[in-house]
Amino acid sequence: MIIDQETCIGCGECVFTCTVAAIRHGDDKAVIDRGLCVECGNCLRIADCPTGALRQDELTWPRIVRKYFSDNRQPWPEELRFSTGYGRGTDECKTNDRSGRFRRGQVGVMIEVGRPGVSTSFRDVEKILQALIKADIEFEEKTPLTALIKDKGKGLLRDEIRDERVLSCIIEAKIGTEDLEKILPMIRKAAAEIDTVFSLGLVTRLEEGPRSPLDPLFAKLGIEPRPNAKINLGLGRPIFEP
Amino acid sequence: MTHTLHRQGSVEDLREDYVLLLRTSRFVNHEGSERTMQRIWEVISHYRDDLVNFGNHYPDWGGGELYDLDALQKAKSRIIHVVFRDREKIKACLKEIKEKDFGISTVVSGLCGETEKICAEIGITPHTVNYSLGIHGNTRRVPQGEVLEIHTLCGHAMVAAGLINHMAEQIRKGKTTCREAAKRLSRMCDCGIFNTYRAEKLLRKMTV
Repeated sequence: MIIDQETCIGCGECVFTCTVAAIRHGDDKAVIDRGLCVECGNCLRIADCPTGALRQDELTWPRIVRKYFSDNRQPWPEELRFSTGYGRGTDECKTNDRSGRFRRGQVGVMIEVGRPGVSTSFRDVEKILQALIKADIEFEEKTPLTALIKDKGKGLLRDEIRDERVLSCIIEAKIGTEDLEKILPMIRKAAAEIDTVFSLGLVTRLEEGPRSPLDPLFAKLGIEPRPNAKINLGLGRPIFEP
Repeated sequence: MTHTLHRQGSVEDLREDYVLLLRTSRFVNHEGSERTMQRIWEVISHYRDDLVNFGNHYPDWGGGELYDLDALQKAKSRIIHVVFRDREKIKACLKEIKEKDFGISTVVSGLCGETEKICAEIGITPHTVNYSLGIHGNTRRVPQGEVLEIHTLCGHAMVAAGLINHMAEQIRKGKTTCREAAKRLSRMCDCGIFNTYRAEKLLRKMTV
């Protein structure tokens, strides 16, 4: 995104709309910090720029990666399309009753880096990937992040995208339930090494009735999940078993 | 997308925040499900007066409302999002969806214990759960209090903290109302999952 300094009248309409506070009042104009801007397009959609000074410039690789992850109306190009074609993540638990992606004895680990409200560089995403790589963890193949991985075995991202910033990026992986106790401290350790935040989610198949196989482990480790969760009701047909 | 999972707020606040999500599976039933999804919108329209927000990810950005419930019953939808504030209303809607056996994956995002009780009351055995284990890392950078609660009502983080604070300032100056401000903020959320009712209450709390 750019703000044309010739035509900007400094009305400030765009300043408040920025999801990452990259737009500020300059001396008498609005100015945008291109390093912080994640190209989400919110300012252009919400602010009613009276002079058209606020504009979307042409984005090329690698900067356009910002838009793929931050503007959920921006489609991924065919050659980089490993997931739904839009946005930052996948169906996760939402269609698990039909897809069987997470089966009994498995736990999905979803680390949404940059959320809430902070944003992230891919340098920080890579730090978490490298922490997880030390464990026996299975990364989901079909996610938007797949397009940016240079070396899956070493948890390395493409060199040119490391300093790009996005609103958030989801690392999706799967482990055996028995490995969760080992992985959680690794995730906490990685959290101490980044300059952003992440929201952590775990997915598990339920036993008969609402009983969760993770309850004993949560009790043992003193973990209290948030009181709200996403629950797939199992109404999809045909249902995937087991 | 973790989307509605990480909504913040106390248990009491969350008692007025249930999101119903229905989604065709990309790998199984995407094709040919168009009419089924329209029929689900027809069921949802029975609760027209109880809906806080709704959408299918294809908003009308031309002004006015982002979504039209009548138009959605004729539209192509791969996903359906509906926000309720009343436990009994979402229960009634779910019961109808279950009885019609549409075969579309259905998720409730809300208080875990209450959702389990709702399921038991209408004879549903939940299949999978996605827990939120909170926010980690440099949490000093995260918006605080009511701003965070409002911000997380949009799963794509499009409701800017700066705009929430700006709206609160406009309310304090008497230039807008809590309801109008909540409505304006909801326009940043394409998916229709923003709970305008909760946002209005939170803005009131911020500005008294």
